[in-house]
Amino acid sequence: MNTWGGMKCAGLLTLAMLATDVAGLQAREIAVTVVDDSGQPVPLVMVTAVPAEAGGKDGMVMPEETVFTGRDGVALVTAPESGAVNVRLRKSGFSDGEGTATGTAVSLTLKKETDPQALADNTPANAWAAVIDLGDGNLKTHFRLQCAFCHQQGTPNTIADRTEEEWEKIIDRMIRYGSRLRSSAQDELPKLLKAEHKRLLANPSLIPPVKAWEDHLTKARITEWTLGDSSSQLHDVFVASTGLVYAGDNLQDNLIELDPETNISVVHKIPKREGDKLGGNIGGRLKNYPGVGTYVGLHSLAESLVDNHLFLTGSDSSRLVEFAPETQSFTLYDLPEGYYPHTVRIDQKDRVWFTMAVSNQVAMFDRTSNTFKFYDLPTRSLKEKATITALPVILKLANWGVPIHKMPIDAESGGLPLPYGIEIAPNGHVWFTRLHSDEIARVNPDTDEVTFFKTPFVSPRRLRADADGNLWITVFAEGRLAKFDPKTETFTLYDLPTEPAGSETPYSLNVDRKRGIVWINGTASDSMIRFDIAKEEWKIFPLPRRRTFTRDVDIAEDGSIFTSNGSFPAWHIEDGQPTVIRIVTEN
Amino acid sequence: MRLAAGLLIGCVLAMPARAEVVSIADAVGTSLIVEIAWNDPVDLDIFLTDPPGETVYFANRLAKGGAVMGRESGCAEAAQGDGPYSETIRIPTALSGRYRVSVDFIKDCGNTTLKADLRVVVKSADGTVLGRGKSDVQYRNLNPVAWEFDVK
Repeated sequence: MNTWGGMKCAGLLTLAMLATDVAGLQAREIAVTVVDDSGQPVPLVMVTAVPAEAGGKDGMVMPEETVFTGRDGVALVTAPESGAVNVRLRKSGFSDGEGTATGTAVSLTLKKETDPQALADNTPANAWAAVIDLGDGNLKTHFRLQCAFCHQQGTPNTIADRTEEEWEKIIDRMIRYGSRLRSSAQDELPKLLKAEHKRLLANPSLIPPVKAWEDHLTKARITEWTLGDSSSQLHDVFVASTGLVYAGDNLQDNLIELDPETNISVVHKIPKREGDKLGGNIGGRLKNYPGVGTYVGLHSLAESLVDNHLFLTGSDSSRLVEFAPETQSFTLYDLPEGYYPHTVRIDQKDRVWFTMAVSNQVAMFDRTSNTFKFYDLPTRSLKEKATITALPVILKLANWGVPIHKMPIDAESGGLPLPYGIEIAPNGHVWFTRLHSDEIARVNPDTDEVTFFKTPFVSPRRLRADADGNLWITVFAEGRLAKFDPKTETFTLYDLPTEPAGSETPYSLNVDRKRGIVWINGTASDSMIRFDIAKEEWKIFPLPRRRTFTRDVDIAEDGSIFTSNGSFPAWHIEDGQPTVIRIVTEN
Repeated sequence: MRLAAGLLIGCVLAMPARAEVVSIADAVGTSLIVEIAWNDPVDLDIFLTDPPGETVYFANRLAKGGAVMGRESGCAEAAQGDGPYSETIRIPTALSGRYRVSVDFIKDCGNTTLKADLRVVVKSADGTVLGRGKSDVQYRNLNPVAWEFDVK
């Protein structure tokens, strides 16, 4: 048996074992054969099967399944026992193909694409964004940091031919949402973006290719559940110890629960308090979103291993929210100080730690005493200290509608160092990043000592610890991965494998401590990226929907991963539909 | 100066007006036009969020559900005439469910107006008025729920 045959056989076995789990119902296996114009089999075609009918039960979401063809041009997908299944084919260099399967086999033809415009249109956004020339590398990095954290740049929505006035308005609205694009860039970008987008739209052959798909994909199976709607934002995702998956709809105050075994989803609406304002109480940032339905803002999720309760950060209400799965009830904790609870993790002593992004703090909620502790973090200047001190007044004015977003923003995004990602190391130390001040820091909970380490790169976003206590950090605006060894206090930088080189903007990552794997969000390139720590080996997993903007990844006990398409706004997504995504690999 | 004026208006104005949801019966599948109109010589922008949750506005001109940006008025129009000024969005085939109209007071066009009153109208393709309402919006703010209507 040759290597490919062995891989294929193992892949088929895996698929066969999983073929009975569609909706917990009887399932069938459909053999999809893909050939080109000349009748030759086409390998490594992304084959996505979409059930044509809904689930039938309340809350049931029939998942879409994606697999890849082998060298024989065949892919096996699982589907419900009966009914039609729509099949979509996708591969770089070809037009998308589609067909319908009603039985257990279907043969489809994929046509080669030679039109430069069509080829460019089917290329992920990172390739478009890579060739936007702003004439100044520093400005491009700042643009990536401040203009690519809600949605991708380089999509049809962002690359559109617009007037300078329209770009001015778009940037104005972006600042209201919380971007800290420096004032000089706000002045420069309308003209530059208009000219650059016009140049690229007129010359689609300038869009470079992305990395070709590789053989490991024949062992992958991607399952995607559509949840929420085009006004939703599935920000973070969490796999609970029960196996249930939770996604936080940041724009509609919905905690969405999904059972990936039965495909049943339940929406838990987070309660609001009397007097809460649409868009939140913290400066009304999200009331600038037309589809807004949030009063609380659901950002990040973590689970207590003592009672399996979930703790959620309510960013736009400055609340910590506890969800008890056994009663399906919520408890709201109004924070006694500070603004914008962001990422949350729970330590080995059941203490809830979270960053406070706007008020420049780290906070801890002690569940045994029901008390909060706040760590005020150092500022970069007196001006920044004054700004943070004045936050209660500034945010009150914003709540009244005073346009504080028009205040000048300096090159360092002064006033907002932005404590961001947070993680609990195996030894109990608490680590966090500060996105705008280019630092990571350690809190020793035993001594309350906070120690900062300047990063040799800009924009450390989210971080996680591996089994040895090393920190893995996404370098958002530079498109890299960083490792920090706390023993030697040294950083190691890795270039991500995304092509064009440096075009990724990785939002987050997670570490499969048991298997020594780092999973990184390929936020700009519709992908998830797997890094084997011991082998220093990369694998890229392309995701089915174009404009899949992922912000978080969690790892199930069996090594499969879950992420969510959290593009804001969701209508940038290919079909406008947010999803939760599972990838099963060979592991 | 502008910020100080904003502070003043922010302190004295109430929250933007929010009207009751209007029902428009027997309209599923029909063609509708949504229009905002105002008299102050400033730049207001219309936003329409359709039942699936997609918003049509100047930066997203065509929704997957069919709604499409129509007439626009900016500072150039404000400089040319006395008003009223208007913006429209056309819905070729109305979907069942709730539509939300939002309005952004994005530019003052050199005027001192800090709050703009506006009118919202939904018309059929032949111009028949199916619903109307009033709202307002503060300078440099979006009124996310200026008006809503349910298509049934």
